[in-house]
Amino acid sequence: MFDRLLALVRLGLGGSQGAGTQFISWIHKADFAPAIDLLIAREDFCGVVNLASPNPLPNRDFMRILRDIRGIRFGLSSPAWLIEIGAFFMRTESELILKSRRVIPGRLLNAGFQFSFPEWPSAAKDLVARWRQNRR
Amino acid sequence: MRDIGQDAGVALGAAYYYFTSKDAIVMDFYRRSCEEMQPKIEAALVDVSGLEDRPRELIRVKLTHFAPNRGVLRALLRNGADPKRPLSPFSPQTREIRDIGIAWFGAILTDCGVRIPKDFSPHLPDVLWLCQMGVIWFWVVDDSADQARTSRLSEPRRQVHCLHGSGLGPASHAAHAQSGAGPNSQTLMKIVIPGGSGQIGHILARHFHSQGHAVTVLSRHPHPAPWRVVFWDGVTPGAWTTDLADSDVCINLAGRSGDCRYNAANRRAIYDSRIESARLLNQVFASLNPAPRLWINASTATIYRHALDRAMSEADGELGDNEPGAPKTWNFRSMSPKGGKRPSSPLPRRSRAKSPPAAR
Repeated sequence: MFDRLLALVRLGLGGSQGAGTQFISWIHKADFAPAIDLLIAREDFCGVVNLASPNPLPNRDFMRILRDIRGIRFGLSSPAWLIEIGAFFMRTESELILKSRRVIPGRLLNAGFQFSFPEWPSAAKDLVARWRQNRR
Repeated sequence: MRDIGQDAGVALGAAYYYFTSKDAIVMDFYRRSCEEMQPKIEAALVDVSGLEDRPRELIRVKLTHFAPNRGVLRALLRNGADPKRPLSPFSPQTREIRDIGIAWFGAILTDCGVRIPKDFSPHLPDVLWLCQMGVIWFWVVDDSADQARTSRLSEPRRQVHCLHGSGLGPASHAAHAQSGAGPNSQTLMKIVIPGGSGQIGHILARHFHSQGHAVTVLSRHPHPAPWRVVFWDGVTPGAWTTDLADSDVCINLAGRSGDCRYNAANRRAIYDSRIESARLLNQVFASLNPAPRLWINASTATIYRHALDRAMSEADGELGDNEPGAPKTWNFRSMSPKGGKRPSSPLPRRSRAKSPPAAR
């Protein structure tokens, strides 16, 4: 997912998608595995648990931050109808990008789980750095 | 030759008429064994599948075939290691027989259900053949009753880490336990991850494996990995259930990816693949004693409604069934298998984790 978004940014297509107001819920992989550790360790956890960073943000901001960190100022936005066409040719669904997911990890936070990357800017910075390192 | 002739009841001259030397007799023994084994191997492999079981079965057939002549093989062993001896399995003279043996390993690899890396696949039959020679050598010198030690050597699990190479499988886990490697050396667990060959599964498997836990991924397309990968089809119980039997935690990630067109067939597949696999696991857990102490099922953040106004937490989130004005594809995803009902299960506790697609 991240690689795909970064590719869009690189191609100058990293503007907002659709209205840009829809929220993106995300989690850094460095937080994902420890969150599962907590589920295993805490015998009292049972039922539904949201695994997401505590700070979902609108698609527009999410993409802008990614552009800034990647160092690409220009990002063409894609209206919803263009996303529909693109999704058709990529054999995927616009739902994945246009639907607003504003999900927070209430139970993890209550359990005192410490996120290494609670905010998107620091997470994006880390992911772009990893991406650069892998490319070398 | 004189003794052989006597035992066979033929004159020495007649014996030389049939065989020019003792070596020729042995060579004929090799050839005849090779021919006689073909139908036996074919018959034995009909119902056997998988990269673990097929080579094991092949070797078992050979050992059974040679069992009456184990003493002969032992006598031949003395010269066997030197390829310059004509009767050595590594000599130019036995090449034809050797090639047939290697070809068998090639044949059982083509439909074993495991994708083998391109750069490795041409060599794998040779490696397996050599591995087989090692087992035969061990068997020939195995003095335990009924060669019980050889049977143990070719048990399924041990065979795996000899095949997957790079020090995998149960033995390496045991080694971790002894050396106390990893931060959780006190509580090393056995963790089974059905459907764990995707990106999320890889993150988890690598995480747990690096901590020294014993990781088993259940996959429809097993592939070599630093951890154990076992075939399952997500529909029927199989050999994989033995991996669950002594596991501590099961993290179920199985299900058709949502990254596709939501046409009728894909919707069905997205829906059914999750329900079927969870039902199957539940059914298997019911037959286990003890069952894993924790079962985690992955779901999706898309289960919540299209929310612009406020954040959805576990306590106050609203699920997205039939939202007014929402496209059909959205409603469909919201109807993904839910964790609302708790199927009867012997597990002490279970939890469902929802991860946003952004993590994928």
